[in-house]
Amino acid sequence: MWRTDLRAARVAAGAELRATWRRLTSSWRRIAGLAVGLLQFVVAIPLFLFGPAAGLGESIVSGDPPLGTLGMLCSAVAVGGLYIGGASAINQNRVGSIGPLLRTAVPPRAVTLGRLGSELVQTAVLFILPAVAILVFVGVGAGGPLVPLVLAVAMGVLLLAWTLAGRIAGAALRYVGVLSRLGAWAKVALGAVVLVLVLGGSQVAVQAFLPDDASFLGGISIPVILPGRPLQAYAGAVLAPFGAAVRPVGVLTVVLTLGAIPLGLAATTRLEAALLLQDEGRDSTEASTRSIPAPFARWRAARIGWRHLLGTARDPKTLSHVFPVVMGIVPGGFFLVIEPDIFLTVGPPLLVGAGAVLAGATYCLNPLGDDRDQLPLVLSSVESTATLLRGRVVAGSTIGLTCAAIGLALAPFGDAPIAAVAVSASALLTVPAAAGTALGIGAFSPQFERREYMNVERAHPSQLVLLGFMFGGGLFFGGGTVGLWLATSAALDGSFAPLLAGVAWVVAAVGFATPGLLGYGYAVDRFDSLTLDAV
Amino acid sequence: MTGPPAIDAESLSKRYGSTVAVDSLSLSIDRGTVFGFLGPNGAGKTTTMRMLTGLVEPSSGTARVAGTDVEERRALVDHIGLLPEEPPLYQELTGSEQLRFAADLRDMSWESVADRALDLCDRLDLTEDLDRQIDGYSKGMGQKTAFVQAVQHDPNVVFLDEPTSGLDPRAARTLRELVVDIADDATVFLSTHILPVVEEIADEVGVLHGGDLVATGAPGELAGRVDDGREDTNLEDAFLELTSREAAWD
Repeated sequence: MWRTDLRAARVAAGAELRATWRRLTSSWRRIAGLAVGLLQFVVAIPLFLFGPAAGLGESIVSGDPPLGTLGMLCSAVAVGGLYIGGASAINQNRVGSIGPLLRTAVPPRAVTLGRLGSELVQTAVLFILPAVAILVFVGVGAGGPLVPLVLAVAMGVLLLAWTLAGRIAGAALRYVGVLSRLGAWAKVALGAVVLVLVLGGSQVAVQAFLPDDASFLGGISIPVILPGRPLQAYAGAVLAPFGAAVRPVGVLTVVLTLGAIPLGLAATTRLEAALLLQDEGRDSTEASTRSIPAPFARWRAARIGWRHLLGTARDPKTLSHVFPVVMGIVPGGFFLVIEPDIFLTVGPPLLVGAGAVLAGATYCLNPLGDDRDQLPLVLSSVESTATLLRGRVVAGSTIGLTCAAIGLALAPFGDAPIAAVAVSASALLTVPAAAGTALGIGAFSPQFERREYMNVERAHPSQLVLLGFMFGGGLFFGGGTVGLWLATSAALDGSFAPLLAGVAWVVAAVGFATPGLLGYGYAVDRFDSLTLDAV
Repeated sequence: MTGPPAIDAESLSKRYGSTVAVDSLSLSIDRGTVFGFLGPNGAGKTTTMRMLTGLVEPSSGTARVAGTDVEERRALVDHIGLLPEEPPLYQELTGSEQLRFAADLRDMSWESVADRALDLCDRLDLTEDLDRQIDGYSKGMGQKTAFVQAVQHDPNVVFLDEPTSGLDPRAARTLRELVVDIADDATVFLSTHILPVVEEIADEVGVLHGGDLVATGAPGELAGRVDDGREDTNLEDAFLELTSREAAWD
């Protein structure tokens, strides 16, 4: 039975890997993307890591291995594995490129093993180049191949064990979702609770388990949550031949890590095979026709925008790509919850900034790519795509302005209520400007191909566009809003000339409006000439 | 029917790299005609339809639909309605919301199209499902909704790609009747593999093979031109003969 399953799994994994390879090399644009990625590794790794890696190798053979650094390294590998495993388990709603055929041709266990094998190979390929480069540098520092070989085995084992742990956690979360038959928004709420617990718990864990000699990192980085003493001791145990102190907890961690691999493999195979046999069903389709609310009914773009919002209200998966943005915003929220007084004061500008980011990220980062399946209708119906794009600005701005309105509600309770009201009012410009900017960035690289992301298969915005807007647009609009708020607050308490504050407002207005209008104009120009040839 | 043709294509071609999808197609279709557009899989039917609706740019040649150059999309959209092979519907909307959305896209008030749209829905037995989310529709219901949204604004030229796909026999018959009714005021460009449908409702037929238009004429006329010694030949015989040899009929 196992032999048959393994053979089928090998065939499935091979087909999946071939399909992935062909997808990656299907166009010059993708090949160029791959080449740029590889180039980054080739250039960045020697540039930034040669010194530290060689230094690590040298210090390991010195007789006193730096266990603090190694513990931190182990924790980074563990957290990385946990994330990769968890994300890959959650991030699949079909069984590879040839799903239905596979599901009806081979047993569930073989399907699971095949998919797992293919994903492990893909992950390994992704990391093999930087890993080999780093290990070579370590070897240079150590003066021989033994240290990098020991590190490769130790880190590989750790990565595999934690990837499987992440895989089990992700599959378990999906299983809970399936068994509970929760509605779409209830699943979002459950996910949010898990996210809050993980992130909130990590803040506490940072305080409790920070190893002494990694304290220079401070309490800001997730990798320092988990090294604790066990992983540091793990590093000591595997580097015993080089003079590291071996502690019982280190030996125990090695044993547990090694044991976790077969156990994890068995558990994830069983869990995911069981998931394959579950009917995940689909979310409620009981919605009935809604009339367009008065504020949206008057203008065509607003009516189109309302339908985007309605679609999201019925199916939150339409915004699955916003998850990384929320992940970026939520940790900041924790800091503010811990310090509520500060939150009441700095909340309004931060919420305007968050609103600006959300206004762009929600509906504007893949305009028309998002309408991929409806393009024949859309392109053969509208005289210009401008109306459609304005509809997206309206939808995104509705969410963004809601955030700003929450900030406005906090204004009376903070230390600078007038500045808070003023900066909240600035959202009327900042938020649509951010949405217009996002349209321009999205139009630069629209994505029409469906892909799986966060368990949702649709034409998501490209990662480059998403991250570009998050870090570029987010910093620009968020930072600009905070700067505006600081200038206004300072002018109101007399520490800043009112004229200068006025200049700041004018500069901000021009500075925000310009990329917004340019982005919108570029998107209209680009999409008005769009044909299905480009899709 | 007098006046300029509803569709007038001259040497229309589409190439993808070295592949010629449509090769120098010339076509003239009078207003009020139901034109059956036939061809084997991969013959270039969908590409032709996309060029005529402005969804893809021709590599060479020209075409006018309702007197408008197909490359002037801004003006073209006022005259056309399109039902592509895959119904372009938003799964999160209800049928009613989808039809209103389609009207909105054309900047038409729902009131101005509602009578026609609701009458079509009624004839297609869709009325009771209009307030349900499209995500829960069967393939046939989606097809009916997409058909209504393609014609509710009373376009001059309607392009239908496999309109009866997924429909049960009763709905398919109703849709054929609707197509004939629509042709009272509009021109219908109908692409399908179901030859009896074309034989029943088309005034004229064009057969595309390997990117070339190899024959045009009335269905009966094409059937009568089959040279296999039989007397009771039909459109299917003509189609098979036309698409199994290199040369077109004169």
